[in-house]
Amino acid sequence: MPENSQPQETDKKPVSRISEDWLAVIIATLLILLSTIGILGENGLNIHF
Amino acid sequence: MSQNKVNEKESRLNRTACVLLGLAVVLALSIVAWWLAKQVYNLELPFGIPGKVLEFPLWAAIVGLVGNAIFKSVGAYEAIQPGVRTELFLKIGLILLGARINLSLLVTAAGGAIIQGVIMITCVFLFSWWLGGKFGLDDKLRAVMSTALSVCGVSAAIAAAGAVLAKKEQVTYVTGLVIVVALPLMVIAPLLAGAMDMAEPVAGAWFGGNIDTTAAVVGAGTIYGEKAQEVASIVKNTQNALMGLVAFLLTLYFVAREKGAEGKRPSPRIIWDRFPKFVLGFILASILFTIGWIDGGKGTPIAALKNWAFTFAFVGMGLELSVNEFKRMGWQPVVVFLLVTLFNTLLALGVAWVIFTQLLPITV
Repeated sequence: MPENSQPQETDKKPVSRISEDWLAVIIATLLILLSTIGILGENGLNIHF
Repeated sequence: MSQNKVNEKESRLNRTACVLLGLAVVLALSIVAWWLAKQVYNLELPFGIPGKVLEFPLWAAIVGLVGNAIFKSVGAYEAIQPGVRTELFLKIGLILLGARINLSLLVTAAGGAIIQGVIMITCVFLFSWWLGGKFGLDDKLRAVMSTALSVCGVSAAIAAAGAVLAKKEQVTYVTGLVIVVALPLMVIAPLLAGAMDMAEPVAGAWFGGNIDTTAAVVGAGTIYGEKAQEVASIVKNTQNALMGLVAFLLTLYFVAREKGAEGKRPSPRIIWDRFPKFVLGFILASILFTIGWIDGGKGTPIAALKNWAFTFAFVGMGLELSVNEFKRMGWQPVVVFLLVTLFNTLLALGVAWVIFTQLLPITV
């Protein structure tokens, strides 16, 4: 039987102390904070799309 | 320092280097996609198609697919893979999207979305389970496929696989199918909605109920319009939030049917464990926007960051596509998947129309 056909726990996330969901919350919060206080934006690092 | 510790340190350094390399590749490909979308935006394409219908999600997915083929052909794919964090980019984008959604829209749309989600998940899961049985699919493959089709694509497939202890290749296979089918749907669904002259909220609810993976739902909404993107995201997030309940019920079922097994009953805690916590960030951002503390509206830095995060996710979706398992599993699962997708598309169209035009129309 090939190695990868063993039943296994398949929902392992990359090695990390916090879950991907909380990491997303932290990064998004930081980005919103930096945008709101003006570090990201016209008077700081101007990011546009 | 022991040899083991040295090896561990080296492997951690290698992994960090791969993450950074992967992130750099995603950033570079996203810039290419953004540039292509800008170039084509004002052009008139063959058959009179305006360039602006080819929005950035499509370009990002195409650029990702091209990158996928190149990196695999030169044998460098493994080196960049750790930095291709599609789900993470998508979740960041969705939270940032919350910063332009008024709470009243969120509450109105979520009300309809819960009704739609329960109907869609129940009907699509049971139809997929039944059809998979008729085609003789393995129960664990049926469980993973049915959850992916009825709830939220890739992340649901992974969660269901954890709940039923599916084989690794079954998950790879289903996630590959999800992306292969979702990519064309991301473009076709908005075209069909346009042909039916569908209002943006209804179209958004249809995309949210019909397209399996959240990235493609957001992509279809983006292509169709701002309000469609907002409603599609709310509907999909509501459906995602029901994932924990589905994982709990699946675990209960598989534990109950394992004859002779010790039969340890799953704890209801799985409902919280599987709950997508980023949805809380999305709701919080919407509350902060509604009370006027933050603004993620058009032209703001938050809106630009949101679009970049989504572009990263669409590029990642193209980069992550894997079709290696397709040949090995045969044609039956593909037929089941396509038939259920057709069923899902038609049912979601009817349900979204009834709920969002008759029962709970969105007027915000």
